Amino acid sequence: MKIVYHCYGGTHSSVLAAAVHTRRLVPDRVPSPDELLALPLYDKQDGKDYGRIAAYGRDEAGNEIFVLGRRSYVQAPEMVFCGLRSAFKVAEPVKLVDTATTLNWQMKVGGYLSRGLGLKAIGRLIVTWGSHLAYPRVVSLVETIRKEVMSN
Amino acid sequence: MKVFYVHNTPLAGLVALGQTGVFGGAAEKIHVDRLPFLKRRQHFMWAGKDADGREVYAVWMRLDGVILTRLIESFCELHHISREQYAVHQVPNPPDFRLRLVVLAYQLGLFGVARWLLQRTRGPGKTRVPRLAGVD
Repeated sequence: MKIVYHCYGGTHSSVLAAAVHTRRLVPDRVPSPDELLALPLYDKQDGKDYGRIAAYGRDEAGNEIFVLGRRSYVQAPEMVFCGLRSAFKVAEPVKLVDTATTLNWQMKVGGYLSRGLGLKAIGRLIVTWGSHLAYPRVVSLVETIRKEVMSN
Repeated sequence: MKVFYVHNTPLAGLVALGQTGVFGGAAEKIHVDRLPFLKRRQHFMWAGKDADGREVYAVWMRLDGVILTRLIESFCELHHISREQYAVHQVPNPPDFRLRLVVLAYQLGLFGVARWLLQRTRGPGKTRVPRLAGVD
């Protein structure tokens, strides 16, 4: 199965979720800011990447994990992918997971400062603080998804 | 081969239907009320086949057309669907002034106004498919 974690920019909460899912980050320990910033795609994608799916690896069951930035259009991936599956008669399911539900204000403000305004020093400080706080929620969401896909 | 017409308004649906020849000949004049998709804020619609036998689709939602196009391309990449099997056309802004007003009304969320204007682009109660530059 293909699992796509999506959020506004495809660079913070979705990357965190993908990293937890693929076990680049362990779920029982909150990563340090340096570990977060060392993650592929973390705080790296911007406007030119909106709508593009980026591969993030596989989990131990062989499921392919992707991240996607879709701005504030939460319903867009579901509607487009559902229509295209029907149009191309694709049988393989794609699991779309909105990770924006795990965001906190620190991640929103930090992400905007870093990716939107280019103020990386202050932005990254705030967004990694927010990621630290949001980590348990991200882990909870990912573990739910992992259980769901592993049981299928 | 599948062709997708994308826009942020139901104009994509009209253009896609126009490509299939639905509005040609005797059926050129149509009632807006008989096109329920004009009321939809977002939709993925199969319009039919064009003269070259290609399957024509319309996709619209209140979304940047570039992102909509990228989402389609991303899906195709994800499923290893080659570029030869599909084409994505972003519907350009229509040159006709009234149609521009229709688009503006749709973009402002005034769907009733948009349909009212659309209905009056070619006479009371009827309209024709908009002719749009840049769409082949």
